Amino acid sequence: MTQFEIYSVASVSLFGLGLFGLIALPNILRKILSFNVLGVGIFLFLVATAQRDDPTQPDPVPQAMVLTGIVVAVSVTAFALALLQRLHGETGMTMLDDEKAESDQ
Amino acid sequence: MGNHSDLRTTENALPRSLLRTLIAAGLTIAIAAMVGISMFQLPEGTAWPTPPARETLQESGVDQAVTAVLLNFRSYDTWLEVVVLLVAMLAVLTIRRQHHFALQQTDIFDDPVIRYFSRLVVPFMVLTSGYLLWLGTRLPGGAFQAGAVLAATLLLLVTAGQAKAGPVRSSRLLLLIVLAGFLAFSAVAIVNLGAGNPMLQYRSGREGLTILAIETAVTISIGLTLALLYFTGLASRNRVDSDSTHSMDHPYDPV
Amino acid sequence: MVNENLLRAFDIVLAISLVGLATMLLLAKDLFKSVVMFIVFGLLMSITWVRLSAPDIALAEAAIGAGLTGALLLRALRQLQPALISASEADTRLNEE
Repeated sequence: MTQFEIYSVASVSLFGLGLFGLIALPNILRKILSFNVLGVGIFLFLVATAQRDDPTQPDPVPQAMVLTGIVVAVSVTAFALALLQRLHGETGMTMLDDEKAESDQ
Repeated sequence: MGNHSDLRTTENALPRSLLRTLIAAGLTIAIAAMVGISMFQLPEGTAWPTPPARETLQESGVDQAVTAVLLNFRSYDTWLEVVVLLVAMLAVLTIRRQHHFALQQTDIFDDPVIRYFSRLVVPFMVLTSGYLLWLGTRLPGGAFQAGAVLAATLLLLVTAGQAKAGPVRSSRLLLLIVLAGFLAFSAVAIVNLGAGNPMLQYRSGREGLTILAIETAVTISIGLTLALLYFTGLASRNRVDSDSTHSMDHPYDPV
Repeated sequence: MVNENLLRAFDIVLAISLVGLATMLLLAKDLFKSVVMFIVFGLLMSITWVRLSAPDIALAEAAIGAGLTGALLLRALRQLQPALISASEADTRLNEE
């Protein structure tokens, strides 16, 4: 197994985990964590590709994109957390769970 | 407040419906498998259609490829990146119903040991930030890393009660610092437009200096913006909450 | 080469830990544990970036991905649940009884 293969498999697993969490986990804070895991999976793939052909001379373009992406991810996380806290302040909700909302009515 | 049980920190992470979990898992595995298969079919050597940035590195004004990409070859990305941060921070200000920039919080971590060590460590953190910025022209480092260290420094300073800024008097100064990175890029663009050049072209022979100047502005912008993202809503929290109808249901307890 | 094999083994262990930790952090019952595991996950990612010859990203990940995101998450958790620790302790005690 080459290094590229190892980390590609890891990256697609992280992507899948994050996607699953984003869809399935009802707690919004967990959805935000899932979003971050999903993003890291994509970053990992970009960086693994950047050094696939020559690990001593990685392509700096995807690396720069990932660097930008990390900063965007943290600002989106801050935004999502602010939304979650406002939602909780207004309604007391921290979950997006249809069954629960129905049973509460 | 029947929904208060939502706040349990110990709970099952998965949805209660097993069927739902299984459908989501199945779909996710299918999508991930498709992505995974296509990953291994990428043709050799042509993963990135851009011309190799390394070959034109000498023209960029810096000796480090990632910095060259961020601040020269693809400087539009970084310009708009600063705008993204700005917009995110304005959105957070709006959602948290705060009308000014402020680096302060009501519940300061007042501990003599923390206070002493923060005083001891902060000068070195600022030094590290500056060093990372300077280093970024030759070795790994640069505006993003230096900005992050700067943000961490501000977090430590304010949380340990060593410094605060805002809400009214320093708000304009904070706004100026937040905008610094955007304004630095804009200044270059305006000068170039006046001279009839492409917008973000650096003057030949002065690339290194221009990049360092822009990077410095971007560093302090990123540092302050990231710190503001953390502190927004923590300052004068009680006053912000006083008009909220739910303030009694969800008291913010600073102790 | 022994060294090469050792590094490859390290890569495999690192990749497995990343995926395992991500699974654990998403499915942990205690949200506080989730957030702490997310911070550890960020630090592991930082090592991964070094392995993938991207030290620039490693520096940024350690400071932003692990540090600042962790601080933001802990702050949100604390405001959402002021009695965070006591509540989860009470729950554990309840479960044990």
